[in-house]
Amino acid sequence: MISELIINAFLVTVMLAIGIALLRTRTLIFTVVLTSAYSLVAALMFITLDAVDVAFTEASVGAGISTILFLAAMAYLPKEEEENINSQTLPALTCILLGGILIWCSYDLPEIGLLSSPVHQHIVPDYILGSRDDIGIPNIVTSVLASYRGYDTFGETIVVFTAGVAVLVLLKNNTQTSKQKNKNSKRKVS
Amino acid sequence: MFLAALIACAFSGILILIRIILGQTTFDRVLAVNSLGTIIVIGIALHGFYTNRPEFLDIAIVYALINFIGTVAVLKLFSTGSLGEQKK
Repeated sequence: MISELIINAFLVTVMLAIGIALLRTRTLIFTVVLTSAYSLVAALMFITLDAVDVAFTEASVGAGISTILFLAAMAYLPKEEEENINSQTLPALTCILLGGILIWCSYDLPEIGLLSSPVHQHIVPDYILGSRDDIGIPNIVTSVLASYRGYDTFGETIVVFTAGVAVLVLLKNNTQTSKQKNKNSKRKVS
Repeated sequence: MFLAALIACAFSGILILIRIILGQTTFDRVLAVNSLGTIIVIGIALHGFYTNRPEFLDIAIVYALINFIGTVAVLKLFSTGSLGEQKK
């Protein structure tokens, strides 16, 4: 138990160090690389918290795909970067205030893994006990996502699909006004 | 034994982190982040064996693949200035 605590504390410290390095960096590509490193450490954190499926998603989406998407977007930016002249006091204050409120709220959360917390009492026992008979697949997470909460997953898919279609429409309008060779290159990225 | 290896991993992770934060060029930092990914892959495997659940080993494999793809993408952007399409 104490080793778990040490591992978690170490990972949080590493994430904090990467976060501070992210704040201090002024190069765009280094920001992207650091974000990828942050996602990798966060995924390791999820594994120590026993959320293996979340860790899988974090590793493939957070560290893999989003890094490459950022880089693909960066290929369209000019090489020289301008100095940021906006004031950073108000955003920093907002972030610190929001973080403080969240930490304050976290004291009211039930203990991690506590069986009597509402999350584990409401409908989860039905899912765990009935998953094999109702759905017939051994993985409970999959049966909740795809069957018990199938409509929720369907809604999420529709949201993501709508966002993708919207981006495609925006890119298409943009290319109609520009030249033909621009059109071809943007199609490939999208 | 696994605990000692985990501690060694953590120590080298700290050294790599210092390299990431203080690194002179972007290449230093890309290489350091790639090494950090490798350390994390080893860390996942060791953590699995340390807690007697080596089933998480396939996640370490996924990590190794993603780490490789990310580094290749960054370096390709460096060398060609784009990802995939022809330079105009």
